[in-house]
Amino acid sequence: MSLTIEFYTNTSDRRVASKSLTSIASKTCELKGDCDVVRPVIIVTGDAASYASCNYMYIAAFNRYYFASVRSLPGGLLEISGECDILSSAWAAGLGDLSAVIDRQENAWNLYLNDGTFQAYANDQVVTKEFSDGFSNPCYVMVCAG
Amino acid sequence: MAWQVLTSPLKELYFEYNGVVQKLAPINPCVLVYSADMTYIAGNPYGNSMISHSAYDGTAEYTAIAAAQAGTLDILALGTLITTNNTTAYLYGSNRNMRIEIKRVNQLSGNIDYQMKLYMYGTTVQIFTAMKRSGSYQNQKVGLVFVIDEDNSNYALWYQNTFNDPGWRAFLYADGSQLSGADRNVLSAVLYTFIYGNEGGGGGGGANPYADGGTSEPSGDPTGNYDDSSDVISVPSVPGFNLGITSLINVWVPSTTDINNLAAYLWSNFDLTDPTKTLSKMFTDPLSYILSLHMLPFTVDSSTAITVTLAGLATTVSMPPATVQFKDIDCGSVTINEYWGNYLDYTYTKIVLCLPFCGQVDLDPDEVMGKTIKVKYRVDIITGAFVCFVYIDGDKVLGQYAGNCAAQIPISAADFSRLNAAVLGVAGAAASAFGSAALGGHGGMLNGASGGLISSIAANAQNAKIRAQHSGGLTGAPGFMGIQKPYLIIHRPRQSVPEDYEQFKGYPSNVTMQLSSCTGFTSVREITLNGLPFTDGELSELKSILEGGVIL
Repeated sequence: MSLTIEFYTNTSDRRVASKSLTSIASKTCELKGDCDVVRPVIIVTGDAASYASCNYMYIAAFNRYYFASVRSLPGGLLEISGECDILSSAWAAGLGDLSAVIDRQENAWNLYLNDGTFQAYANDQVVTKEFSDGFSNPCYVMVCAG
Repeated sequence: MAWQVLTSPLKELYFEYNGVVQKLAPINPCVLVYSADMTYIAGNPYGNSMISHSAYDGTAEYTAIAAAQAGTLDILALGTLITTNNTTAYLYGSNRNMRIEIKRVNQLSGNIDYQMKLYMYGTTVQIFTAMKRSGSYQNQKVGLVFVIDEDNSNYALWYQNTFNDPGWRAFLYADGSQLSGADRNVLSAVLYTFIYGNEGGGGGGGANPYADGGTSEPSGDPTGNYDDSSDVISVPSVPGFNLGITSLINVWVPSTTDINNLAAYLWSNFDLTDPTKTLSKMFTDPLSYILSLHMLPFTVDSSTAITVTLAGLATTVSMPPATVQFKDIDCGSVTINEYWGNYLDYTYTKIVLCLPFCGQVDLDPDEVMGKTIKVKYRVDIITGAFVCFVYIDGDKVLGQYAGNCAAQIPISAADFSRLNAAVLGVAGAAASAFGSAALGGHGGMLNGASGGLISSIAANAQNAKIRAQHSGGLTGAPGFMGIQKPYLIIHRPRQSVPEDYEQFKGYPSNVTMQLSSCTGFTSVREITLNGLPFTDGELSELKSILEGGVIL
């Protein structure tokens, strides 16, 4: 079975669904043994220096993106271990089409909901507001027998 | 996505300009903000060539146009109502603080340049210019459109550019899909925020878990009838009777000179030739003719002085008689606006109303926030007893509090002893009331030995802070020496929000949305991961990641 593997440098946080990727290389490999789809280990020929910045890869045949780590082996070989980035893989597979109850959001929010994450200083702000009018000009009142 | 469904639609929509508030929904449910050169839209919305342009047949935005043509969409060109440069109109729903501000900035080459501003926390967070001042689109007809359909269940926001060609328009949908990058996000954010801020839920393509309004069908849905109507409890009219003009008692409004003259008359010598002078001997105490002499802290309405009669006999002294028994004292108003524009204005804000001759009353922020509070005393001038009405929104009574504002003047030794004892009694009650629980609710008695001291111990316990007492028993004579105008003491929490916090952790959302409609930090509370070709373990991990928060 032939696999095309794209190697990248990922500069995005793990929590980003659409990661910022810079391509390093593309390799076509033959599957010669057991391979875990979720945690594949790939051995390729290559210069370790060329893959020094490789931390991400995509295997189209598996429909998955992977966080990658590279280990240099004797004989000019590189062992690249992958750990499935399920977030980006699912996003590419249509996760965005699903609806969900959103707990917190950066742009769509309702600040009248209190979920306990706001913090406040211990010392309140105290202001006074006076009404415009009140009592003035007192007078005597006398009540007498009619 | 041209239209987004609001399951918690706007019930109120107001347009405010030059201090005049115009209710738009549901009377004029569709709102457009346009350049002034689009004025014909307001006059002829359905036959207009622009909104019926065939190029948009079958497209999503044509839904709005078709609705207009079918007469189910009404259109009001708000931009044309802003008639003066550098003036601003406001568009808001139930929450004026969460408003879209439409400012006509200036006029450029015959076109009007508008800006829409969305205010949060009392500051402008977004500004849209509805007309380009420079660049390739300069002097062309560009507008921002905010539209809500007739039952407020659909809304859209789009941007329009004519490119000097009346047949060419670029409509942007509610998600701003014909814009790119930050502009799109900003457009969506404005719409979301406006809807959320004015309704507290729904919108943004999402659906509130509970539909609002109407009676639910017996299918397992909530069975409430969603009746949120409210009766207005108004300040009552002045009582129609007037004991002061009966023949049993007379009520006078004397000056100091008048009182001196009466005293001189009452203590005049016994004279058989003048029967009226025998009055001073008919009672053991000539002052028994006088049932009460007191001061009131306001001017009592009176008429021209006439001869004073005592027990039916005319004296030689004249005084102005009081003309009404009940007098209203309007203390004016104070408007309380949201400070933070979030839940802190309601949950942790304490509002204390200090009332002359009464004491202090805790107000519920839910009842008064965003309202104009008014205070009116209705005083019985014969006894000095009053009811103080606290009301909002013109004539909606929130509370009524009783007290007495008369400072009795002792005119005999017996009077003096009685008044002295009463003052000591008030003082003792005041001391003991410091340890008492909050009066709570509205309509509590604040006068006399029972009160004037409203503590809020229960409320304080919530914050585990000691809330100071601001007023003691002020009924009667002590009130004369106190503050004569009502005032509010507002304790607001001071929130501490790190800069750009929403980018790191978001803010509470609680709506159902399609994930592709979300931008930036998003954490999910509930999701069903159907249709994704991954292992069970991966899906469990994905759910956990979404719950922890991702950046979309």
